[in-house]
Amino acid sequence: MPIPVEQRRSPLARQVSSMVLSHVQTDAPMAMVRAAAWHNALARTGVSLPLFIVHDLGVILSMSRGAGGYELGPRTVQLQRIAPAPAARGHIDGYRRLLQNISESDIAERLSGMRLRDELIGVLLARVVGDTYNRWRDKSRTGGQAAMPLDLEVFSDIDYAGHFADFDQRPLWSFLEHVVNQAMNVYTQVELIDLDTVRLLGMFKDGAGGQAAMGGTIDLVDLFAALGSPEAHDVANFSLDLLPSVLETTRSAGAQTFAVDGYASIERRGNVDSMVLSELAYPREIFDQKVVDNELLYYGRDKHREDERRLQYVIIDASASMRGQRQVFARGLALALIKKLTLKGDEIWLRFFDSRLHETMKMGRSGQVPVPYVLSFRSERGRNYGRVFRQLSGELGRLRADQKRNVVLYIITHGQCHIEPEIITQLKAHAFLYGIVVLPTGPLPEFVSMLDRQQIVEAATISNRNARQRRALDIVGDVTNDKQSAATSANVSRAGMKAAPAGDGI
Amino acid sequence: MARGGIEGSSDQALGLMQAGRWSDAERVYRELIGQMHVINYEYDDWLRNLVEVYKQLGRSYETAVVQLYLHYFDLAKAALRGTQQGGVDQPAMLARVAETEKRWTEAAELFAKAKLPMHAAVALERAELKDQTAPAWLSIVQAEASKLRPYEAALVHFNYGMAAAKLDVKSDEARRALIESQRKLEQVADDFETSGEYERAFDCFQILLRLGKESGQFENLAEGYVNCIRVLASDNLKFYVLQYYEDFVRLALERDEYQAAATVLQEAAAYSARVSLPYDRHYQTKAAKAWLRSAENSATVGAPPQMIENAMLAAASQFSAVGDYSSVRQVFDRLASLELGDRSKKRYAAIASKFVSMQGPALEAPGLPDYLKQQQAYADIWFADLLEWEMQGDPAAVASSIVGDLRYPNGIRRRALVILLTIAQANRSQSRTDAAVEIRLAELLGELQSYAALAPLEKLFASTEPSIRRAAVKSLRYLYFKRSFVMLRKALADDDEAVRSAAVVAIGGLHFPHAFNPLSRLFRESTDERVRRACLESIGKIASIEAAEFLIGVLRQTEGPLRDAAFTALRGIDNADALPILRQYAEVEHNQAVRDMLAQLVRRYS
Repeated sequence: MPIPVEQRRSPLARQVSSMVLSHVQTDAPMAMVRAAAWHNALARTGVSLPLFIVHDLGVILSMSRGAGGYELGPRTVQLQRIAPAPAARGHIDGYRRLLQNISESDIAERLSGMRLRDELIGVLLARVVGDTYNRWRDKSRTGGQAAMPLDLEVFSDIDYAGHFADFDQRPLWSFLEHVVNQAMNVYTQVELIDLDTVRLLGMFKDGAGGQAAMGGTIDLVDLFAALGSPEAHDVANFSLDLLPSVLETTRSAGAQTFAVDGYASIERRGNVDSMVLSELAYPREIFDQKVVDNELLYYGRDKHREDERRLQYVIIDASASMRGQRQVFARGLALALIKKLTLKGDEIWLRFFDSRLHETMKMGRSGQVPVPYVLSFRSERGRNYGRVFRQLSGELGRLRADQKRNVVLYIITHGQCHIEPEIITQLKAHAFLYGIVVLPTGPLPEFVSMLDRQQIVEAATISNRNARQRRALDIVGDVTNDKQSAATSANVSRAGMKAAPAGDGI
Repeated sequence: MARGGIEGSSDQALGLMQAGRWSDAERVYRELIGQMHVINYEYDDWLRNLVEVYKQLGRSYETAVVQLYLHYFDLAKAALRGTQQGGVDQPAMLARVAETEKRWTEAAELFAKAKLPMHAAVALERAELKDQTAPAWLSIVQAEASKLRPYEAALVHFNYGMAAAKLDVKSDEARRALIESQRKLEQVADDFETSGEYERAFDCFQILLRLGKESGQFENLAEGYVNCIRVLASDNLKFYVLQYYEDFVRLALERDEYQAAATVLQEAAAYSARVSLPYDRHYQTKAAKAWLRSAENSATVGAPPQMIENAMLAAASQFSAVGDYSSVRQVFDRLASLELGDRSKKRYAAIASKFVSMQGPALEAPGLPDYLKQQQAYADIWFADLLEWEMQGDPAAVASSIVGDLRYPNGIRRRALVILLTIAQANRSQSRTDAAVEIRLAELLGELQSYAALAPLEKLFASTEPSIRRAAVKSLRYLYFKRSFVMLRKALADDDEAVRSAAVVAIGGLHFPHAFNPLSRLFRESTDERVRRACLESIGKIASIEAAEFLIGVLRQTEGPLRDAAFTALRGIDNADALPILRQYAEVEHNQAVRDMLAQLVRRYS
């Protein structure tokens, strides 16, 4: 028995003992370790479930049924050893029927094909069983336990029934009864998992390395909120509508070696016309040897420095004024915009604002987008646009002065955002200003006409699928067109841009 | 046989009156009317006698004040017109009489004459004289706005904007004024929140809410409501929170903002569950229905099918959470009929089939009953705060605004009358600025137990004389408002030890439910053990779950007198809901001494 004798009465042994009631069996030895990881992730969202339920539901959501996957069925011998009371046997049957229902669900099948990471499965389980758990009377008796070890050895060859007898299992039976009473709710919650949101989480690489598997290193709280919010699902659908068109862009990157622009570095490769002239001073034999060994030195040249230094700065209004469809459009558009700009190879910063400028999410060219954060960010303050934009003006001024950055500032907001004209004037000295005003009620704010470019999204547009998609793609296309790029690279061109149609006021 | 007590004094006053000893009779009657627990007819009899005494003494102003209390308006006005007393602002008092009579136009003229333009403008608002109201506010904007603090300036712009918009909805001037007001309010609200004056930030959000309501701007409506709810929730004002949630939902639905309404209802459900109120299922059911309306609306306007699908799935989730599986089936049936592709349609039909035999909930979940909703949940602060500002903390002005106003209980009106007569007496004896008079006024203002007393007390607290500051702070113990803590915090940092001690006394009196946050903040920030102990005692008297949890935390994390104070406060809490929390902490506590204390409390609560 791998659990040491001194831990026979530990929380770990108690959790493992519940596996007697498990009705999902798999040959995969790591299944138990993964179940422990899911259990830990669940506990971090405040839901502390018996291990057998975590294991069974988690396996169903992450593995396929049948050969090489899992089978439904009780651990008969173990169950006989604990000899459940007749009432408990009824609950066990109810639990088996629940698992049967879930395993037949299309959602479970499709999730199992997505190779989800353990944290993501943990959060999905919290979504599925969290409400049921929170309605359980005795939940206070399960809290405050240490994380389970993620060690295969610990979970090998355990006599579950042996451990089962060591504990007062009344809370376990009570929870099983509660789950069976709430079975249809649990089943419904599985069917309500929004696959589009899960898919969207996978379309943007997250965390270092950009693994293909979904849900890398992520903030569980953000993820939990994103997966449970109907508005987040709308954002996800909207983004997914836009992304196929957005992804047509290709990106060019890398150092250039042809003879334009100034010198930037000394390189080991290059054209003859870039060779460092002193190389020619070597004796012929040595020169030949350096050619053979690729040891000749060449000047590297600047590659469109203003292009490299361009910063796409997206700020999204997160105040309560954006509640409802404004928020859906703003965030869906922002995700598509970020993807498009990332593919163009620009550096992108993203921030939410209300009465504060919140944390800056910096997305390099590798395209790490904090999707759960974008989907689930919630403001906990009022508005103070004067303060926000004054601070922003100062920051952009420093960026321009210290780092010579060309900044394009996208302001996604609503029709009651009244920024003082003087602040807009200051901002214009540091950045190209692009405003997107979503669903304004009443006349547009005064500052909008002062922006370098603006787009107004009206109610008629937003409520129609094709119009909404077309409008959003217009904006994304407009943002990334060459004209604008040229305009952003130098102040001189800005006047020309202002002469261009300033938004179409749709 | 001579009677003692109040009856004795009453007999004595009457005797003095009959003997023509008017000054002595006045002194005795003035003492008598300080009695607050006398039944109305007896009290009013005294006042009628007092009127006679004042007439005999030729004190027209005092006569008018008492007659205003008695609502003898014509007599009060006649008395005021005959007053010869210097220093009395006759038009202002006449305006108060007209205001009490609700003769708004006359009041406006008199207030203007008394150089109280904000009072005049508000009176014009009440008179609904649109043509005169907007110019009145405009002249204040032009003449006063630069002298005002940002908050009051925002209110003036707001009132002007609203008044101008009533004349012409599309008026550019009105729009500019409202935008200016909005900008200022946003900034001021943020400043108030940052400095911990949440109740004042709340006022700003209330005005934004009103702006959204009046102008049809959902952005401001949402901003106002969501932030008001946030502040109310932080004060644990549960029923106000739910009332605001419900009002916000109603207005959102009226404006076809179904999605926002549904998410707000879900938030209301989550809040209700979090604070252990039994309305979560009611709000979840309403959220489900709002999501269905959102889906229907989306379908009508040709929205993307995914939006309709998402709204219906959200409805199913809410129905499922309340156990209404019959409705869940209906939703999936409807999903199966949407234009979503064959695979989805088949899937939803299959899901619906699993709920065929399921029933709806047996009982309808209870909602927030009407009797728990407050009629005064929304105050006209855009007027009230300006009127307060214009009174400049003058106790006479404040008392005269109360004395005839029947919205105040008689007890408060009687105290206001005493204040007015005390000031009049001091004016006559030319002792108005004496420290003794100021101290007496501070005491009387405290006994007023009204929010209106705070501004005059704040003014008295600005005195350079420590004994006046001490009296002002001590009076705070009767004023159960979060704003009391603003002055209290200043008093705790006062140079004078007696003022600081008075502040500690005041803390001991401030134990109303939403004092929990300021008290706990004071406890955390203070290094003075007396202050911290006083905070713990008051928190104990609040007796809420949050108070119990806070005290348990102090019990576990401190030692010595503070731990003892927390223990004593916990022992005095009469709240059965604290028992499970105590038990939970008693089980996990490592410190033997603390565990014993917790166990003792568990036994006591059990």
